[in-house]
Amino acid sequence: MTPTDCQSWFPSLSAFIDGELAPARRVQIEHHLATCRDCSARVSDLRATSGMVRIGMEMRADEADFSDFFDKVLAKIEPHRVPLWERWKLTLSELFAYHRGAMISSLATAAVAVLIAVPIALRSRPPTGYASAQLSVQRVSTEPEAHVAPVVMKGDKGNTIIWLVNHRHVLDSAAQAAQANENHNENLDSQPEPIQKQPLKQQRPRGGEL
Amino acid sequence: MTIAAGRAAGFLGAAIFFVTLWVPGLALADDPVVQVRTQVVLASNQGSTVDPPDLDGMRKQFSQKGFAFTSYQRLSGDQIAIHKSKPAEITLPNQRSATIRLADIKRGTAFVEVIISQLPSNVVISSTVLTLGREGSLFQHAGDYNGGQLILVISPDEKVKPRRLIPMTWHADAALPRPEMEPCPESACCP
Repeated sequence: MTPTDCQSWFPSLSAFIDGELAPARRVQIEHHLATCRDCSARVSDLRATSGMVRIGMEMRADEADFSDFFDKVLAKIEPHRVPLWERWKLTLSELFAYHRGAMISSLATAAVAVLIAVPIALRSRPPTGYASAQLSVQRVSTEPEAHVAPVVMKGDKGNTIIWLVNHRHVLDSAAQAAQANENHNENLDSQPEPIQKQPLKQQRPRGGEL
Repeated sequence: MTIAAGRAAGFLGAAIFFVTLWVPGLALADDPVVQVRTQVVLASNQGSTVDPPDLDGMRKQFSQKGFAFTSYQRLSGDQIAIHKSKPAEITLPNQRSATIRLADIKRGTAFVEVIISQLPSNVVISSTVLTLGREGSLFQHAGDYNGGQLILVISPDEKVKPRRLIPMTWHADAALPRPEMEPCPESACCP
């Protein structure tokens, strides 16, 4: 076979090595290579060259740093960030365009749920200031000038009675007793009679019947 | 549904939720106000009238604590709103006054101060700080009047109902009758 005949095969040899030929064409080339020494040598050269190129590429690939390759690629292919409001509008328009029925039914359900839940929540919520279950007395104080003392009586179910016991009478009776004692001492000088001890008269508080 | 659509629905739900919480909160952020029911009751031993009849509960409370009043008469009663910035004042018939002041609201519980003063000098006689609750009343003694004792009653707002989740009524069933057992003859079980 002359080199002129072989030249018609040359363009297909590279594709033959890379396995890119149709089966019929591949069979033809294999028949030709079995009879043509020049073409067989050319195919061997091409295979050796292809192998060297592949090894060289692999070595280059091993040397390359792919740590941020993904981010770099994404940065090149992602468009600029759309503002939130624009995204909202876009999303809602998409929703109403492609899921109109689902969106309308969802919104209707949400509205009904709000209409039911809000009055229930407001009704179950106690009025302002009534978070505690029972009324409770925290502190009771009286002014000293008022001469009253508080008596706190806790009942059941949060009921509490606060009674102000008037103790002015205690002071009055003490003053009266002191006055009577002074008078009595004066009388002792004039009337030397034996002193009779009298029990202190107990008075009930005027504030109320305890 | 796409991820973006799911996000939008989530944002929408969250927005509705926060608006629901926020709107009632606006009302509370204003000048706080609590509603209480006040009554001025004359308790005495003159007669045996309980007027109105719903003071019978008060009579029972007092009798449980050893008070022997036979008559309870409501002289006045009102539903009042106490603003934090504006205390309520009740003039009592015995030359005294009761000032009801909203001291604070902490965690939804109102702290109310009841001050009994002498008129016209406005000398404070007593001061009571209480926390309001859905149940219970304060019976604040306010002094003598007309042969009896004046009592200022502070109760929860009429709209406030005590919470009763489960009716706590339980009646034990009567014990089942036990079968009469005849005493065994001594020779049958005791060798």
